[in-house]
Amino acid sequence: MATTGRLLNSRTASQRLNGVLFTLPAVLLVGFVMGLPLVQAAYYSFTSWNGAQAPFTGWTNYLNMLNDPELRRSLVNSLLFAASVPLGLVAPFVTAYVLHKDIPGSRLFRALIFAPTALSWVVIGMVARQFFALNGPLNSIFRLFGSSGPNWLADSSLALPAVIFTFNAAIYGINTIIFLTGLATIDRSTIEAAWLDGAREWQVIIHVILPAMRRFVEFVLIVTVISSATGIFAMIYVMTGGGPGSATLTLEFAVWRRAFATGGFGAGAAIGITLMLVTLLAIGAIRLAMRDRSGA
Amino acid sequence: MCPVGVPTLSVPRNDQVNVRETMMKMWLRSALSAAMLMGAAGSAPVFADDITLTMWGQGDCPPNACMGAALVDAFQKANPGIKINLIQQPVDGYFTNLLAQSVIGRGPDIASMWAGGYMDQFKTYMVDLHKYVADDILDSVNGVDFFSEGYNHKNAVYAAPNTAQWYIGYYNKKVFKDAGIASLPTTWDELSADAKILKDKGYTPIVQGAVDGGASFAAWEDWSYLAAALSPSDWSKMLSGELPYNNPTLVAQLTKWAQLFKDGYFNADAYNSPTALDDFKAGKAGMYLGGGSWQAGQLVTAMGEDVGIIVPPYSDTPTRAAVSFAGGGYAVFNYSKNIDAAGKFAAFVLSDEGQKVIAQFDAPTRSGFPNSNPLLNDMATLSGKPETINYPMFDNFTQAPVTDALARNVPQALIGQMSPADVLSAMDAAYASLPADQKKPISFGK
Repeated sequence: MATTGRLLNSRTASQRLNGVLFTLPAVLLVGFVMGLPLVQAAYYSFTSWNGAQAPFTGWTNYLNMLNDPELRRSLVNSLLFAASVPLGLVAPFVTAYVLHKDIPGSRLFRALIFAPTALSWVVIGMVARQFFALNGPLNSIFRLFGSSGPNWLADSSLALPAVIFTFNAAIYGINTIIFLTGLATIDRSTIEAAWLDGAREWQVIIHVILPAMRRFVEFVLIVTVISSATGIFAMIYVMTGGGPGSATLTLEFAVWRRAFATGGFGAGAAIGITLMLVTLLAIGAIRLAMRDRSGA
Repeated sequence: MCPVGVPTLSVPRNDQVNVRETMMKMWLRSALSAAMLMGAAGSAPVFADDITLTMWGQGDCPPNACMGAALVDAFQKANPGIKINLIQQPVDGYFTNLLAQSVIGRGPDIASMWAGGYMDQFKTYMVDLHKYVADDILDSVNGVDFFSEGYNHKNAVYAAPNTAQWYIGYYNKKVFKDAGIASLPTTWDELSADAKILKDKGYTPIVQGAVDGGASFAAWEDWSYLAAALSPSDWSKMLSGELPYNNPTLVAQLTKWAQLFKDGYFNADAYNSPTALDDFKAGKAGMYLGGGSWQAGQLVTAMGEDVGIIVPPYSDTPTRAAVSFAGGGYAVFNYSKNIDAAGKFAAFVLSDEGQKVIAQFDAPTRSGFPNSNPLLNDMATLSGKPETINYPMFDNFTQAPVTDALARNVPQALIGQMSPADVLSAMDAAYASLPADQKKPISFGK
């Protein structure tokens, strides 16, 4: 037994060593391409780095952010983007639910809905820019009623809703497909049992389907919130350039503007670190909310 | 033959030593092959007769009116071993993108460059062109001092200037004639009166928009003429912080400018119209006041003799301003892996062959190479008049945060989304935020 135990221990140690050795390249690679830049960014956020020199300035960049109205605006805008995500998931869920019922033409609809997902954010931004133009398709509806309609992207009170709408429209297809996948994983017998028990459709959705889809909803929420925080720079750049003024400026866009439009790389790094923390907090909040719901 | 790094499957079971050795070999093979791949990627040979350079240009470059592309073509014919990929970048954010790439050493080999403050931030990345261009050629290049250290080309020369440039407005002669306007407006009052006539005739009096590919219109041209209500010495004071931007003269200028929009004399989507220049070319508008000499070629091509130049009459008294400066230049970057080949292109731009190419599109920087564009000749005549006050391009000297504040806020003043005082205060705030070493007197050079 003792010999067998040593052999097992030896095997375990060997396997552990092999495991470490095999994962080491990946760990080093990830550390190199993700960890190191993150540490660098964190360091530079405490300097007034101008691209060449980086004198240490302590918390100055972070304190300046608190007093900068433009950055406060960008934080609010980023939060509004994130807040729009749950609302933006309603349409994909409803669409997925309808398509899941195998209505005639549902395969074609799936393809059509998913197709825009292949477009880059730049193309989406360009199309949206034309859509919201003063003489664009959207305002043609207004023209039917004798009004010229607003210049959506030039109006500081309308530009942000237009950009948020575009974002949610752009992720509609991929989220629909994810929900469709989730719906396909639900055991039909539970739904049929609910039908047999006399449940109405909305009751089945709320009490059977949604709880069964919790992981998918959580996944979509997290991925979409991350996209809204860190993935739509190109779309905003093309649609509004962050303007008018700072009307559509997000924290992500502010990183670029502060770092490269004004040469404040240290300040840009501080905004970037703040953006990361805000995003992590949002993800934590989503996970917490979903966990609470499941426990209820 | 088993490819390197692919593990064999003949590992004897229950043989701890063999397993460990085999696994170790597999890991070493993987690591070795990864190292070899990385090494190979880092030391790919570059053949002298197979050099490819990347060059960034700014804004749209229509196939038949693209000077950069013509220069590249001519250079490639003269240097068969060197190929240049010309990439046109949007004007909006061009320098920020270039800086972003330069900081990490992955920018283009050659890039279009503007003089003054735009260029200053790139000095550590640019190559002194003395090595590639003969001194006697440099002595003959108009505007080369703007691209030189200390505004003296005997010092480091950072870019090969390709054109002389003007900020200028354009008007449609046919439209003016149709509206019965015999002479060009030279004051705010005349501009307003003529704009009313044009509007009553069914034309858009003044057209503006995002003509350079950006999300909104660039206000550099309008701003320089608006600020020409102040003297060049006052410009120096503003740029150096001695005179606030939020001063009564500029507030009044922006207010009058915004009034034109309020009165319906601009296109309603002046802030971001993607078709502004096309509308002007199509004869739908009387004036396009936010233009520059770089558009002269395409306008003559599209409108023939119907297009003429007009100084934006943003003045209470007959305007005498002309805004001109060294145009763009081509800079070579020191992180290029083919600096000498890129330097060769810069030298080509200033050579006789290069100047002949430029003369087909724009005003070359060396004498003896006349161009056939009447608008450019008119601009040169305007600047040469004794009564003309020649101003440089204002934004070439503003510090980056001030330039940013100008770019974002001045267009909003036109469409009434920000008050003139707020716009100018934002520029003052941007100046106030500058580090001490950037708050220094600004020189216009010669």
